[in-house]
Amino acid sequence: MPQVNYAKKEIQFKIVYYGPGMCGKTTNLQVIHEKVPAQSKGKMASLATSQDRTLFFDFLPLKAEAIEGFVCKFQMYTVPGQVKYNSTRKLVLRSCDGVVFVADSQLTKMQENKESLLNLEENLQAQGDSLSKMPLVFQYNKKDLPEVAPNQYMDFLLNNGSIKVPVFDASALKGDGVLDTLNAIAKLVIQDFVNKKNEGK
Amino acid sequence: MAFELNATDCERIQKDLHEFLDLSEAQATLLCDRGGAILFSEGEFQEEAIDLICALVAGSFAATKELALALGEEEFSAIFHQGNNSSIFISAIGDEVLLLSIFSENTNAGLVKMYAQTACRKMQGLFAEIGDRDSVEAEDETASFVIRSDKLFE
Repeated sequence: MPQVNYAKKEIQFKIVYYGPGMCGKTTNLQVIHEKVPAQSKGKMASLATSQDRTLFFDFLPLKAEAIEGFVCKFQMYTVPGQVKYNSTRKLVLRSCDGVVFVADSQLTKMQENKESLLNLEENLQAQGDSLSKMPLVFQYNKKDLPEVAPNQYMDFLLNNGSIKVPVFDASALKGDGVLDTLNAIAKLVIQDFVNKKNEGK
Repeated sequence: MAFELNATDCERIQKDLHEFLDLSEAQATLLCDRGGAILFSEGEFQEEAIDLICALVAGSFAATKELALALGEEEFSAIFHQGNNSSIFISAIGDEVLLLSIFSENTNAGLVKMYAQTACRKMQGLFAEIGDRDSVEAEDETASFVIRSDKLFE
């Protein structure tokens, strides 16, 4: 559940971009930072290595008046995709309200996508959450590259739960599909919050 | 853990933080959760930087916890970063909240550490109480959550 301050009329959501190494998580946040108007964003930070690989996380704060009378703040994070940084991924996932799983559409990356999704599920379970209850959106990225897998095949491998997760095709480097993905996950976390409040949780 | 703060909570927190700043002579202080969400700030902060500061405070504290575990400690309950002109002291309030204190070279670091510990002990009970609450008494009983629009970012 997000942090709510009734005195300041402010709700804070935490959204995490998850996925295998080099799938485009950081690029997503960079594009969002470029495209979103100045009044809706704060300072972006990347804790990266000298080779521009994410070492800890990228962070971008956004805000919007998504719920009447409240300012909704969205704290956007990425995790490091490299397998060896799992303890860091666990730290970034803490208190998260929604996840964007960025999958690399290249045919050669399907195994890495599957392993990363399994890793997400394990890490969520370790903190008492579950993939099936977490607001989740899939982004099939790098659709502009040659030799990409068809969506049916990626759905078969990744989006094969009883409830189908929304999927967005993207080419993050070109900026395509990035804001559609962002709007979808923002809407889902808000809806999840409103549903829980209405249920009295 | 998600905290829901009402006006009474905010007044109590503000009073404690104000008292801490007075006694310690620190310039600014803030509370955030361990997930990096801002809970409260007191003193001068650049508004556009405050969310980033919270994310980095939580990240820094989490990284230090992993370091502690690697060294056989359960956790370092506080960390201190010293700069030329200003320094910061981060201390844990229970398992969920962090207190950041920012102070200049003219302020005694020992004083900040001592009063930060006192403030943390004092606020630990308050946050335990807030966390245990089943529901929040919003000021406006009729408050409801109405979603405004489908497309938030264009």
